[in-house]
Amino acid sequence: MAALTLSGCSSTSSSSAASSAAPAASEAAPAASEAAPASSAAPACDAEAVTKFAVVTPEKESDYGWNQQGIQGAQAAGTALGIEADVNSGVGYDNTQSILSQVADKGNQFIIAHASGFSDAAKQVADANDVPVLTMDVDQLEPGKVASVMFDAQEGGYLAGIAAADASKTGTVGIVASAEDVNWFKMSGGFIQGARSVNPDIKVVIAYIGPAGYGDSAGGQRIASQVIASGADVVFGMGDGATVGYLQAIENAPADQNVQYIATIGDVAPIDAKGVAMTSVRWNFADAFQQAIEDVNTCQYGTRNYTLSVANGGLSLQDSPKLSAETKAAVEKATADIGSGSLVVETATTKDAVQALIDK
Amino acid sequence: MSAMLTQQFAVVFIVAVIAGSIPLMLASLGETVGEQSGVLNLGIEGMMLIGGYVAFAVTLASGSFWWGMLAGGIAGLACGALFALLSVWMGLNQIVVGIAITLAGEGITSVLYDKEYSDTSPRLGLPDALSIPLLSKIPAFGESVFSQSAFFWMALAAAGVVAWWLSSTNPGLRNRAAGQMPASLDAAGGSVLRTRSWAVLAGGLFAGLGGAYLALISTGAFTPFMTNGVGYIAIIVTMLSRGRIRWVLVVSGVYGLTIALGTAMQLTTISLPTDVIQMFPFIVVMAMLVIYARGSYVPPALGTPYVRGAR
Repeated sequence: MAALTLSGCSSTSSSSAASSAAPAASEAAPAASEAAPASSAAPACDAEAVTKFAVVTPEKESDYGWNQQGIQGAQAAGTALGIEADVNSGVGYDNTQSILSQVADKGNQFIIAHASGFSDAAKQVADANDVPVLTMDVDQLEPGKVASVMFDAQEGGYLAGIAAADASKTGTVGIVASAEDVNWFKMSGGFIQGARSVNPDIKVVIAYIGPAGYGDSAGGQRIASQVIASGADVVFGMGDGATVGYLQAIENAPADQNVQYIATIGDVAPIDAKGVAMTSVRWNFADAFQQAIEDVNTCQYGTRNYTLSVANGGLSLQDSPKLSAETKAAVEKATADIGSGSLVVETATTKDAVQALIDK
Repeated sequence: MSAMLTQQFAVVFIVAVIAGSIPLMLASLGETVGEQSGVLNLGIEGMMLIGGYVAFAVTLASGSFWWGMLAGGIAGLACGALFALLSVWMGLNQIVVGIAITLAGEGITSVLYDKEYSDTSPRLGLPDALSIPLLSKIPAFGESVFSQSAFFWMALAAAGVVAWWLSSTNPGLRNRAAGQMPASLDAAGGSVLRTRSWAVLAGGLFAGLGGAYLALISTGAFTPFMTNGVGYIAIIVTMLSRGRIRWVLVVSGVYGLTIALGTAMQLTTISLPTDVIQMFPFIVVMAMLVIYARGSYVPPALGTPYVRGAR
């Protein structure tokens, strides 16, 4: 899939895209972040500028999702700042504290702990090793030491919903999620609202693999098959290794149903041999990471979090030839409306809240 | 709810039941043969993963599901041979060896997959369906059950063969004697070690086939840790079935049914936490255990290495 007006990035061009997008994001960042002090009020800063930082991910880059985007975002931030990014991927969730400590001992002056499950250990490492750590999706601030990346995921889901409703011929769209994850809830809620903004009568069906079925490809195949059998001809999928199962189900769905897939976080084009992927809600971490490192350099780190949103380009719908001109126009309008604040996407953070939106 | 009343949904639902049941049934068949001989194989999860990975890799390379399934079975057999060497012939603790094989299977397949396939995440598509004339035309049921691949029928046939072998053949009776009174078997001229070795090999073969079925037929792909505990559930099914293959079939079927039902319920207006849905099959299995298998009988020599003359 090409990266054009909607997304502005792809898996192969994250660095350049991030660089080109950086100014806009920098302008938007304060508005999207919390409690940022005015520069003039900042204390005198004698911090040593970061020349080497690390990103630590639980799984490998090849997930075409969360881990891939985290690593590529870090590399793009490193390139933009002209510093070295030390990539530590596939560390899992065991012994996180000792792994993060070892990463700190390698001379890294800043660590991106790229999993919400790393947060507690990351905070302890920041305290013990005096290295600032960036956590994910946990609202915690500790000046000079800890800040977090937060996500307005519902906004990205909204854009996907527009695309899905526009493309659906059956009037039914599906959501498949690997886990009961708050960001999956947010994305699902946004997706429902986006789809209903195009077609108020559209039917939305949803199925989860389990509480944490991120890598359950068999489960992914099972729930996607049943969602498709319920009439969905566009499937919005969330979830690491389970994505393989989603794709398998969609590729083998009845040909006359012409089922299409909308991915999340990463670009699945390289593994989409049969061309079932319509687009993807891309998450671009580069600007948030870059802003965080700059805050370390200016002694402002830990005074605000960094948010990925549609307004600051952290979330976007990947451009694709499969999107019609009308869909692109609708997505661009929604993007502008969200950016201006004239469109506020309701946030669903629980399974019940998502179901309430479906039942509305 | 109305979407679930369609024929297409019914077909997919039944296919999902089968897809969930058969890997468990195959693994449970192997575990049953092994446990009846007195060997507790906790390595079944790892054997399934190794069988699944090898089957996936061979299918991908050869383009043939048949070669893949065969390779998966052989890989399981090789794991069984290792288990037999360590636990039967060398007398090492069966529990420790089993857990080691499971951990090794998880690690090896994860590393190999990451190295070979994670960049492309290939899928296999579907095997050719073996449509049974006339029966496959029955709405919903025929389109799902009687339009399965040949592997489905072979799996059911294997269950029949194992049931007959265990209950009606001399080798089957020797197998059970090795688990119940190995010293008597030895005194009667049978070889406990050889009998148990064959049983463990059969267990490995079936575990490998179960993993292969899960990867090739149920999923059409392989991903690390994809068994998600099916190997452990097979051990429970085996304990529950008390060596009776018909119970292996029933409990495996109930497991597949509850798994598929869990997804179907989400598509209705019934909103249940996925934790509950995930627990559903286990609750059902436990309920069946309480109701039907309170006198659950396991071979007295299960898990005990045989040493001639030892008391």
